[in-house]
Amino acid sequence: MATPDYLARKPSASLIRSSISYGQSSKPAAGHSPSPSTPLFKRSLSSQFGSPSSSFRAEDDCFIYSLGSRFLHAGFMSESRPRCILAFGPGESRRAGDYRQWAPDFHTIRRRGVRGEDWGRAHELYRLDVRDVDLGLMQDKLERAIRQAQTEYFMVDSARPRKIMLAVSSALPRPLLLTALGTLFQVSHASSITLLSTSICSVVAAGLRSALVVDIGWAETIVTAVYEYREVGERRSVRAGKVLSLEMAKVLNDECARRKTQNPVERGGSSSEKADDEVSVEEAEGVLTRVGWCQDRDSARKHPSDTSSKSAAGANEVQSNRPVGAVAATEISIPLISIPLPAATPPITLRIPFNRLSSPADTALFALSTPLHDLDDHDLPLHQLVYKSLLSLPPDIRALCMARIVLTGGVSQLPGLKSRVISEVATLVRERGWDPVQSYGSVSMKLPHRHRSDHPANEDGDEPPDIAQSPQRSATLDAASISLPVPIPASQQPQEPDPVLAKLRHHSHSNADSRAPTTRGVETLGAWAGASLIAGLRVKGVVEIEKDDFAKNGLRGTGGVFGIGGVGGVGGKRGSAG
Amino acid sequence: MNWFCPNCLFEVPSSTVKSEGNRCTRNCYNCPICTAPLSVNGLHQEPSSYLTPKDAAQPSGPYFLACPYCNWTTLDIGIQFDKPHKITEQLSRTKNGGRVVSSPRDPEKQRMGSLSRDTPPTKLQEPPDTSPQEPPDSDELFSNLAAFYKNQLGEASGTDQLGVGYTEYGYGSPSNLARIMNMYGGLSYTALKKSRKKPAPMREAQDTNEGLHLVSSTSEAATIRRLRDQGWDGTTNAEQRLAIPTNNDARFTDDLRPVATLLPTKRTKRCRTCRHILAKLESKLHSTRYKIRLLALNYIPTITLRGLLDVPSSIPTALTLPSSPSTTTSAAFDYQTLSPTTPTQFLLTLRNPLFDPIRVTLATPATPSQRPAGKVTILCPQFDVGANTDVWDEALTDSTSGKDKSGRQGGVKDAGSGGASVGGEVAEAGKVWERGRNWTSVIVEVVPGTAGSRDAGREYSFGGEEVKPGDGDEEGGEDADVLEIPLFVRVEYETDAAAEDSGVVAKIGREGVEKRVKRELAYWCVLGVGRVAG
Ligand SMILES: [Zn+2]
Ligand SMILES: [Zn+2]
Ligand SMILES: [Zn+2]
Repeated sequence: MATPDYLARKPSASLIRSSISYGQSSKPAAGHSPSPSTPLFKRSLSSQFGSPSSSFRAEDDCFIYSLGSRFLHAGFMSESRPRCILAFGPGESRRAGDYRQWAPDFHTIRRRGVRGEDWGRAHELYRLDVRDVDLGLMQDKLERAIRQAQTEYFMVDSARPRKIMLAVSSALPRPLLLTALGTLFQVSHASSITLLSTSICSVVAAGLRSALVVDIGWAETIVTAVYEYREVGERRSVRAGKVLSLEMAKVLNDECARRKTQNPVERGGSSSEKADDEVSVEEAEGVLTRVGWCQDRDSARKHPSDTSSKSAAGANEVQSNRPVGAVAATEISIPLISIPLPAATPPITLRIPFNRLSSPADTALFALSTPLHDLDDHDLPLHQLVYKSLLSLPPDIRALCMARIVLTGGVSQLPGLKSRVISEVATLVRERGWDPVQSYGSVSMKLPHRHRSDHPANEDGDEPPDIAQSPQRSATLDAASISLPVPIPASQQPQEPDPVLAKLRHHSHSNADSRAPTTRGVETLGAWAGASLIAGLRVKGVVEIEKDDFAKNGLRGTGGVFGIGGVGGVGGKRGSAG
Repeated sequence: MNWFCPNCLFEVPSSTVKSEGNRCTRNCYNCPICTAPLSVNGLHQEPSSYLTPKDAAQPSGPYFLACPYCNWTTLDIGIQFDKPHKITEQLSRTKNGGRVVSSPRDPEKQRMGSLSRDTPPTKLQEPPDTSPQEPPDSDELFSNLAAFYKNQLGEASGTDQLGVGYTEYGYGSPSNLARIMNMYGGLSYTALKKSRKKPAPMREAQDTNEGLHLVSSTSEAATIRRLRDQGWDGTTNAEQRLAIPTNNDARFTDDLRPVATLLPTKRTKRCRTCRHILAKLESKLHSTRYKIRLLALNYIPTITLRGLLDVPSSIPTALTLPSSPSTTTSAAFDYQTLSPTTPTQFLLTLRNPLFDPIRVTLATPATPSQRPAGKVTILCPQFDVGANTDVWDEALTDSTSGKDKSGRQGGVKDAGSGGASVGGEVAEAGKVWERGRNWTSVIVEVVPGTAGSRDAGREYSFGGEEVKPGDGDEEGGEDADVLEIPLFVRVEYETDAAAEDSGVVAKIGREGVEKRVKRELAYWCVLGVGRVAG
């Protein structure tokens, strides 16, 4: 190589090099650059990677934002919680001088929405369907929120340029992302914004490298498979917070109506506006977040809380002799939960059986009452969604993800939901295995022959896949040994040894986990905390957008794939692409 | 820039804010239930003396924080204090229920101790009370995770055969960074290539000490049981949860922590485009005066809209805002029930705040876009408004200001007090209705549309089931019958260049010659009219 003698001839250059590099680690890079402009190149390289303190510790504090359609989380890096969580409610869009929210009776008046507006629209910053989104309005709302975060909670003293990490969903529509970035740059004097994907952040905040992230948000549930910090698969369903709160509103409306018919004394001539007197988004959401819960799998199958008549009957039955330790809440006596609704006319306090409050989750998220063939791809119930996502993954990644189901998002805070999803998925896996075909129909007779005959590990389990399978079969699903059951010749060959995987196995201290994949849920601290961790570790993100670049080029310069957190990872870095 | 606590009025310098956070670190706490300020009380104190100043007789014994409004106390969450001062410090050491917080160093020390067997942990005063049914809170998990990642990255660097000591080897060093970048999705091609040879990617966290926390159905079942037992009153609402980060995931009122008071400061407002300072308060804490106060209201005419039949009791001063018609209801004119499709005449008054006479041109859109679509006709769209001269000028030329009112009332009948305008029983097109010293009134005819003309709306269907559209937009729904008219205002006037406040135009008049500069101002605004009946 030309480099060593070049360096020998130029002591100054070698001096530079020895001063910047601690050892052999940067030598390969030097070896790859035999051009005459080597010193210059090396210098630029050194400024990028060289000194431990220069480029990564210069701006000491980095702001972390995490943006969703309902909330903005904002705070400093390396802190465990955001400094503030700001909601985009209708209260934020009042005109100056409109002081009605301070009126004493403000909370006793139910605010009617415009007919034809979707449920909860006023609480959203944006919708994924950008045809209807007023980007100017979004910009104003976002700007106000960022300003509030900065002035009231960050207390930054000057317009000193800072770095910002923004965690957004990686599939955020481009116009929305552009608006968000533009607003951030304009308001916060940021020198650069690093984009991170919320799913990757959730994985980091769970302490994992690979996981299946189930983000149950407001508008949709997004299931993202993450493998080695890369998003490798994604599926969505509209069964999420919005539908859930809509279901809760339905339950509350039903209860109100029943109550009115039961004691007609109480309704003070308000029968005419009865049709109009429905619970608002705020009320439904309040009830949902306060006393909403989710049944576990067995009791949901045993006591479908759907039918209101049944729950009303269940309210009266007393069978409280069971031990309190029983998990299923429905088995013990069902207490009545009092829910005040001061905004109803007249103000009432509903008394709802406790298990009725779990029915919205059953209906909205798991669609127990709807047969599977009635469901479209976009409104799959959560457990089906997770199962299908897992099914679509390559087997080795599937095995990793199966044992690392990370539930996040606002709705995942519903008590019981996480374990419900996981147990539902576990049951699905146990019953069906990893067979994408649900029913073979007339060919089911031939199945035992073609079904995984190529796998020695599974030869003991010859049962037809469409009936319930023995539980130990899922235990035998080895990460490396399963493949898709489509009989292609290549699959009959022994699997090629993957050096990366072998290395991972070798270095992974958790061999036992990857060997026997069980369905397991892992808690995460959420996307914001993940971004905070990433920033705290001085890890540079893949997509970093400089202010000037953004002003000049918008997002055009960020490369073909807008990969946050490493989809592809080629040419993702701003500097190299621009 | 100084911050201060609105509760104890203690000034906090910027550096302290940076190091200790944006909340008061003294004894200032707010009630997590009702946001009232909490007071420090002694446990063995007469209940009646809560309200007396506490330095009168210093109570003894354990102390607690109590809310004088809703009677919430820290005893409800099982926290009491040994000392009446340094509450923040004591609070940070206690969890709800009185348990002592294990300092974040301890788990790490334990880890280190288990790593190197020869040095046993110096003091294991932390009892292993992290019982399995007590899930670690997110702060612990976070610090565990952070420590784990640091440890992993450090460990990985330690395996490098570099002649550099462990301590000198920062995490930002080249090889390490390359590896991290590789792990996080890789970066530039060279970095990728370079780090391909590096083995040993960081592993995953494996237990709670490293930040891994599994979903446990038993703890969720416990939460559900608790929810069932405590009911609605035991749970927190969104406002309470969002009041302070530590309460973000407090589901039950038992989990709430006292809210430390947020520190405000006196903030300067700048123009959005030219960064010119528009408002600045005096920096002294107790002063509420402005150093700089440039309000747009001092430069644009104040516009008010009144029903013509509504005899004004005084000269309207406030800028009419969309919701304000309800506050100015008078017996003569009912702004709450404007009859739709009936032409109604309003009196539009512009008051000039400037010391130069202005020429005003008004315009409205041809097709109003507001919900109860109103048709608006300005009978006299172009007129002059007199200068805001000394109040005494008018008083001397006309009469006292009290008489002015009655004079103007008469002005409806005959000519206005300004004399230039022609008034009468019937409003005439092209004529100013009435004119005063620095104000001019014109007639606006409004034909309100019908409020009920909301479209039926899309049906939101889900799961094959028809769902009635819910109430979403609070504003639109609640105020769907409010009639507002957009108005374009264009103001022209001539002023002395030197009289201009800022130095921007001061150079023009430096010869000492009084130069007249023509200025123009144009903007859109919205006038609230009232609510349409029906
Ligand atoms: Zn204070
Ligand atoms: Zn209180
Ligand atoms: Zn300006």
